[in-house]
Amino acid sequence: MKITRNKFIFYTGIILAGMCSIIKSPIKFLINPDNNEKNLSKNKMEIKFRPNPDAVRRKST
Amino acid sequence: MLSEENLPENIEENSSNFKDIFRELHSDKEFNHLYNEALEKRAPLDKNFSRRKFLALLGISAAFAATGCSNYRDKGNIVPYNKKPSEITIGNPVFYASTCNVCSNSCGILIKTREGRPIKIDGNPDHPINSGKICTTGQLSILSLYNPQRIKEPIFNNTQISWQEADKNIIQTLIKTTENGKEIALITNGITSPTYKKLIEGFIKTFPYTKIYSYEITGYTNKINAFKKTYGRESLPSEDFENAKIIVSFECDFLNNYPNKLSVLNKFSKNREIIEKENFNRTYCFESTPTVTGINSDYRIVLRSDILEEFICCLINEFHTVKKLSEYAKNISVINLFSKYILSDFILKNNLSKNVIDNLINDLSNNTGKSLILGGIQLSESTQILIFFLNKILENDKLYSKDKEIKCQYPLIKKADFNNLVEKINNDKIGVLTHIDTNPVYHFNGIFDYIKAIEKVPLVITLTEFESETSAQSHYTLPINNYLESWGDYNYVTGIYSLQQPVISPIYNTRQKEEILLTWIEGTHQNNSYLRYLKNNWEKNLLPAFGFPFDFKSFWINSLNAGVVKTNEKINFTGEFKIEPSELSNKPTSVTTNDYVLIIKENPFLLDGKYANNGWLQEIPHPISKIVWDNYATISPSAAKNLSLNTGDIIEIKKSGKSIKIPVLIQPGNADKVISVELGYGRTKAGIIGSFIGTNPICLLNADKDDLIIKDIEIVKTGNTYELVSTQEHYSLEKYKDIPIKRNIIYEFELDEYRKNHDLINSKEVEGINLKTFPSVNQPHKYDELKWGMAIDLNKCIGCGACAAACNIENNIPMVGKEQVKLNREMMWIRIDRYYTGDINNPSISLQPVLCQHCDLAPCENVCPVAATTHSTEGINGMAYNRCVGTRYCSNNCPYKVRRFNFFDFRDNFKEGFLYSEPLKQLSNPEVTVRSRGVMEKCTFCLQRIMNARDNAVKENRKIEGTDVVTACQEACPTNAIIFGNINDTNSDLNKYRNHKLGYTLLEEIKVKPNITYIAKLRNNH
Repeated sequence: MKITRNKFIFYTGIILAGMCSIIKSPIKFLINPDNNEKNLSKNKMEIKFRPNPDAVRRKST
Repeated sequence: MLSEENLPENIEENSSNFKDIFRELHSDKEFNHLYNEALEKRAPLDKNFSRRKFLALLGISAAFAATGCSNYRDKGNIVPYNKKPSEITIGNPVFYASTCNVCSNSCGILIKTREGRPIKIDGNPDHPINSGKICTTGQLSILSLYNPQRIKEPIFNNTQISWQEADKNIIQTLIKTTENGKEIALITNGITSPTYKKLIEGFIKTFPYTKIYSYEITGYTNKINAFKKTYGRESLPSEDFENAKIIVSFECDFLNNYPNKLSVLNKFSKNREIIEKENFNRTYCFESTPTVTGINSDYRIVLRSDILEEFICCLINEFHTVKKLSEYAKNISVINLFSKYILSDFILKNNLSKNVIDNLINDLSNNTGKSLILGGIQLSESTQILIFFLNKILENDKLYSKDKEIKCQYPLIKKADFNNLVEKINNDKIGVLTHIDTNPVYHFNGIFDYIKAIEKVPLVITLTEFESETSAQSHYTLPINNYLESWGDYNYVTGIYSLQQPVISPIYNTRQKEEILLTWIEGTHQNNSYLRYLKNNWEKNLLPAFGFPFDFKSFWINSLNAGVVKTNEKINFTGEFKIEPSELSNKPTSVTTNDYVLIIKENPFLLDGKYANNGWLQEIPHPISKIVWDNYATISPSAAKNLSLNTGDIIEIKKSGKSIKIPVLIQPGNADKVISVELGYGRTKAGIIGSFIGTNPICLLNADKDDLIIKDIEIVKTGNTYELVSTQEHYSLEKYKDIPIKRNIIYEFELDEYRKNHDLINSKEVEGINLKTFPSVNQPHKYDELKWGMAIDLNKCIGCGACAAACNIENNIPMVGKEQVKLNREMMWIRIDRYYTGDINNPSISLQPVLCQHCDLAPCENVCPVAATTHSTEGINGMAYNRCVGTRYCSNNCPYKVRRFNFFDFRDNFKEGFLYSEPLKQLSNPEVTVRSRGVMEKCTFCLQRIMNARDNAVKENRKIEGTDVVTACQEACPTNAIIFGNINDTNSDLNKYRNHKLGYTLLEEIKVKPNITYIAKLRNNH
């Protein structure tokens, strides 16, 4: 198949967009290099919020 | 080539000759050559790549690119409850009654939780101390629970260890220390819990060489000691502010920092009433730097704090010798003691207004037994004793409650006692040093070289929620529960017992501080041991003492439901003045000098520095200076001129070989040659939010004196500058003096003036035009049904900022940081404007909260290109965040500048995604949209609360009333200055405000018809 300039540009664009939809990071990094998901992910931890079973909730007046 | 010369004759457009021209063109050799050359240079045509294929491929790649650029974050799975807890219904909040631990006042609170998470703290309306209100710091203290920088596991020498290991090692050391006869020192805050006191007594019984050091660096320790000497009770009197006609404050910011502050505010505001009926007290405030109390007083007299004691001696002489008011008038020793203090001489020497002082003397003479004279935390014990004596002469102790007092369970220590502790440490008499939720390294290291001392202690333990200067110097750092995760009881005022219950199980591997001590007493840890201990104490000791005829189980559940137990407990306060007048000190600690004096004050939000790591509290503007994220040294305009200083210049303050460097703020109304610096700043271990902000002035304090006044300081200009960021400088009109009063942006009158003429506002004209009657070119819109509106009574508003704090929490408003505030990008929906008018050395300072006015003819609505801001049928100016494209034209058009634009996603932008970090993002109110970048926002009159009230009204099959809705700011305001409701309800309280003669709207002349009515402030001057 003869690769014309147009074909080359469009297929490259499609492949890049496809990669970005999977990895996401490069576009975000280009938009805002100071903020990426690594900063957020390092704070992720398993936290469970459970009411205390001995506490008495306020009845509505 | 074709040219005019060789153009064929008789050419017609549609003739066959026209076609002949083209054939001629094509067959023209030169033209053909050029044409073929152009064809060769053009991109080759791809016969297999059609236009349709091109469009298809373009569409697919655009779709992929859009997916790649999206901001989708996987927030996890949404899974319904398998076994729903009985108390949780999705979408409905659950409330718990508990007690606030921010300070010793132990105010009752109601905590709103959603799906197991606390999201808002408000006052408990059943609690007699605070009557449904809570202070600014209490409102925002909820952030501490979710702060990602909490310590999560026990630490030993910077390494994580298990609780079992820590308990085992510590218990062994405690036993060994006791066997060796060395002291075990427990350093705590003021203790107001009877059960905690019993626990400590149990600890002392188990480890007999234990000693308690209970301190509050910004507490009323000197006043407590003075009250003990004068009336024999180790407590503070419960003063009746409601019946006090005259209140005189000597450097006492009682509207901001006072025992039982919220009760005081409630009673004080009842005496600033103009709507229901006229009821005004008169307040005199003698202070060196403007405070919340000073700016709300009727008379504010600028006077150096170091000479207040001399002034009080003059007043004592005036009342008992000159006016012969009291029984002591015939007491020769008293007469001799104070005879040399002549009031008129003092007035002349210190350039006071004779008129004002004469008014003060007359007011106090005519209101004996109905006035209160108060001394602040800065004053020494001897000054406080003189104040109690002055109150005694004027019979003002009749306003001290006979059956209630305010008391800590353990006496608070003085600096001298702490000095003794440091000496014991240096003499190797301390075996174990335990800091229980305190930070003495920050508070005392500068005075006593505490860090050097505690290096000698074999075992140093700190029980704390967050890393601090003290925990950094400790062997063991044991993480404790936040107060929202803790059990407790409090008895700060006689007869009132507040219960504290956890609204959430501990988020991390932390323990309650009482449980830690209990483990050390018992030798082993059991879960919920403190709950059992607490219940046991209540069942065996407290309930029998109360004398209630209930079984314990139902009593316990009902008490937790209410959050408070009111008992018939009383003290027997005889009012007998136990100190002999001859024992009174007639040697004031200082007289008028020309030297500079430094006064250390408590910050109204960060308190003693404990809340330096709370970004919201750092970002709420200071009530007077409006500075954020910093502290500073206030200096008077004349002193600044003498020293050639401008705001932002860094000075070095020196005393006894120690010094601090701090930027200066020129403060109108500051006493000459007085510098004041607020505590709470200059921390080095306060997390990423609070570390290295501001300067800590404590090192300059005298080790052997208990007041917070430092005399004979030296000031040196360093030549450096520092930028202080203030919110009030935005949009100010600096060139025009007194412009807020002249332009009627704010109205303020004297009470006498109002009594003579009620039409002060209605009759006011600007350049011959009456602003109220001046017609508008626009027809008003009719609201036949419900129309929401608000009124703010400036007589009651003290500028505390509780409304702004509540609004922040309720509406998920992010903090933005100092740099963004500098660019006028603060996000708070309510601001409290502060205006100076009059003489720069003693100006009249006025306050005015400003929020979205929800104008009927809102200028912001017309200019939005996408109709993102619209007006509802109930009069609310609404925002559709997902329509907004961020042109900011609405903010440009807003005459009140109340709109806030999200220049960034501040949750991401502030401190590298701090607000998005777990678990802090769980703090968000789920009823309010979290706005992202590029969207305008502003006050919505708490639309989510209006919707909830409407839903409830529909369920009850009735129409919604104006009184069904309480906005967050209204709920938080401790003086009930904010009223919200239905304007069309002629019987409502709101209508009384709207139709009051003192009511006005902002910028009346532009006729945008705002729906917030302000009631003009009246000063009760003579």
